Amino acid sequence: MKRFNLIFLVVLVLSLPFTLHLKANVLEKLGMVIASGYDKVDGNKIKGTYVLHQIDPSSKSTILTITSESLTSKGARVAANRQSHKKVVAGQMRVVIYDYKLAQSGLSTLVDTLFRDASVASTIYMAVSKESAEDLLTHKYTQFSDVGSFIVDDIQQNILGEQMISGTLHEFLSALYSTADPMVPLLQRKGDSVELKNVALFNGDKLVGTVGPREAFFLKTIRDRYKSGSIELSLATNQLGDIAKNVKEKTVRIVIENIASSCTKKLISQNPLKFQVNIKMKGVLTESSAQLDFRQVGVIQTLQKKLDDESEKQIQILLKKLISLDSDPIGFGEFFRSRVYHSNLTSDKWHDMYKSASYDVHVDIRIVRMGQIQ
Amino acid sequence: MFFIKNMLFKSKPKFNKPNATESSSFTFATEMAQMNIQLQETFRMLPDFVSRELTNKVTFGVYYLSNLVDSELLNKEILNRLIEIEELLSPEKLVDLLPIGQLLLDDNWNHMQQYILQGWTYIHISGYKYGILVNTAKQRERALTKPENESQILGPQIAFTENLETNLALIHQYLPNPDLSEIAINMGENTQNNIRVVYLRNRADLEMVTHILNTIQALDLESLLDATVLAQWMEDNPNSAFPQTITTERVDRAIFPLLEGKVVIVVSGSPNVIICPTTFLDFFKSIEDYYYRWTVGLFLRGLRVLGIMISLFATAVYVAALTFHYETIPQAFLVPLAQSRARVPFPPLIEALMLETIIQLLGEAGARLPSKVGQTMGIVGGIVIGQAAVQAGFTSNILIIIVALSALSSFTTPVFAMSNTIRIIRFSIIISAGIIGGLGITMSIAFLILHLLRQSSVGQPYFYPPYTIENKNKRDGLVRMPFSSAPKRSVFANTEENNPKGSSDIDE
Repeated sequence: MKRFNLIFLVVLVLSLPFTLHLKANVLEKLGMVIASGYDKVDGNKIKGTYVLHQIDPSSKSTILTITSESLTSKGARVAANRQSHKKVVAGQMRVVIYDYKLAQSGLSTLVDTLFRDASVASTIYMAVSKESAEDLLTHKYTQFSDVGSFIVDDIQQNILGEQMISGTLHEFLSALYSTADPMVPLLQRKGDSVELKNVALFNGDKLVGTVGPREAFFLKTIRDRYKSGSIELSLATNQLGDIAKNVKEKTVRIVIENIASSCTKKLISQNPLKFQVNIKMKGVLTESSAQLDFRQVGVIQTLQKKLDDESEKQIQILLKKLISLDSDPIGFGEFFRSRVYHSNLTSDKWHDMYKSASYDVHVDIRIVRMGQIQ
Repeated sequence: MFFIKNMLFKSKPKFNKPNATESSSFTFATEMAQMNIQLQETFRMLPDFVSRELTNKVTFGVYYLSNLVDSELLNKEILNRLIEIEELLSPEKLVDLLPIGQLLLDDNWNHMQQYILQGWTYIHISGYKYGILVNTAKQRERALTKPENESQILGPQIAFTENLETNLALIHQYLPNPDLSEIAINMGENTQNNIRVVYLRNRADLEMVTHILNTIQALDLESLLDATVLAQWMEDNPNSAFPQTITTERVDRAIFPLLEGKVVIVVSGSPNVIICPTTFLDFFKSIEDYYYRWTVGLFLRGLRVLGIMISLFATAVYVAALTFHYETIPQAFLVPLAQSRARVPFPPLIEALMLETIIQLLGEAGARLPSKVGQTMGIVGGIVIGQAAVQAGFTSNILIIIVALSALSSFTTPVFAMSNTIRIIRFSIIISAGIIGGLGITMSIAFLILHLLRQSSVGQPYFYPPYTIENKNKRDGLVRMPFSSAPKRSVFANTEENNPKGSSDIDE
């Protein structure tokens, strides 16, 4: 019996490599994709662009770019494999870029293949490119050699520094399968550089519009707790009254660097649909275009009041814009579903209700410091 | 498979029955001449056998092996005194005159022969059927030295020697405790070893002591060269890769377990003593941990545990990551790693096994070589092979670092036997990682833990603190705690918490 057990174990262990469908992927035999881009081309086809790590030590270039066309994204990768001397794999992929037109016609089929692939992490970044993704990835940049890593690092440092909204595959899917809507950064090639230009907003899996980085700041503040970023607000001089007596310019531009912000949302009424948004923010005044005398009593209070009003106005504009785009990236739908029992809210139902939503916005900015001296 | 096994290892060793000693037929005779002939016959193959008749007024026959006896003692205490004796004495009376002598108790010729072979002197009195035996043996031993294989910075710097009496005296010197008990066992027809089982009567679990005694007595060894051999015979599972008892040359290392209620076995002729029972974690504790302040001790012990992890898994993780899990390699590491691998013609498993073997060869060569040549060996191995292997595209330079790191970490284990075991086990983990990747590493860990759980050391659980965690032994299992909070005795001890087991008088 004991001998049988031993033989059984040995056979089991030896048969594991075959039965487990284990494929040996030896590192140096792989063409590892850093970034892939997909474009819509005529005739229902997809054009895939892949940026691969070049691991040949004698090669001058650090990347290898392959373009291929197919009906599906997986097919495009298979087609790309035919052009590569190494097996093209997606395990080290860090960013996926879809072009604007492709995103407008819906991404769910393309995203689907990513999350079905076990080797693709759910933390890879997604992005939309203003022009074609092929142009973005194949352009010969003079300032850096590896466009894939550049885009990844660009997105990553801006997300970690909380300057940009985070658009990972995980967040995209989680928004897509709930009643919220996804949003991802929008990239644009600007000469010999790549810029994180805007935030692309989706309705379901279809891109519907974009908002600028300043609005993205408010988007982030409303969505969750937030510890960085900065806003630039222009206040009309005549509204500031006494405190800006000596200022000649028509507007005073103030930059507030955010230290900590929190946002509480309330559902005030269901019919008509009305939400209350309360934002509390502590900030440091880092720049002011006019010389204001902060030693005087009441200057800071007045400034805070004006800043509150200005940001409330801007947030209202943003929320209206979101409604007009029929996109809910903040997740008011999820919030509604969590507050109303037995609402049986579906995404379609919510988008019908969303059109009539209105908001009551309160912002409370506290300037805690006037800058720091090192 | 089993046929090959039978060919390799003969299932039954050929048993040579030792020829019956011719002398066994001899009996003691009253006449001096008869005794002379018989003794000459017995020791005819030993040229230094001395048989002398001292005839003054009485005739004494003195028999000894000249190179085993202390000649000064023999002259002063025996020969001089015997010459002065003027009347015929009975052996009983003679013993009184010779304080270092003792009466030959039985008329067994073999026993007398055995004593002479150990350096005693036999004195025969004409007219009596039996004589007396005098201990004139000269002990040949080296002086007490520093422990060489288990060196430490702090603590007593004294090591056991090859002499049983010295070793026992050292233990007594550290523990002048009336409860210190020794049980003597003789073993080995050829080597005539004395074995002493030492324990503290009021601390040790007596059931366990009985178990150990029974185990040793059940062994019928013909010869026993060293304590390490006895330790192997005592093991519950000799087929396991893991040593189940600690053998140490440090005196303090042997005293500490005694105080914990463990048993120390001293074997004559061996500079090592056996400590049992031993748990798996004991192998990673150094006695020096207790000499350092507890923060330092804790850090060093933690470092050692980290070292074991590195030496077991570092190379395996490299192999698994490069063969199967390229997704897990951090991006910053990816390109340099792939580039260094690009020139290597072997798959990662072969590459790793090859380099591991080279490192093991270096270690083995270093251990065998004289120390002066050993340094050259280090330079040849470390610089020439390491640097040249990378430049020749034989291995990747990252693997060199990993393999060197794991070799280095395997030597942090304080018990040499265990560090050897880790060096061996590493290979199987690497191979399983090369065949089925991370799953293989996980399976190896599972099998390793299962195996450890099945082991026992002299009947006590081997994988102890993980096996049953009780409140009192959570501390000082793997974590060196301050003395105020550490338990005073091990769980094998007979303490108030552990009810006494076994009866207090142990049959010898």
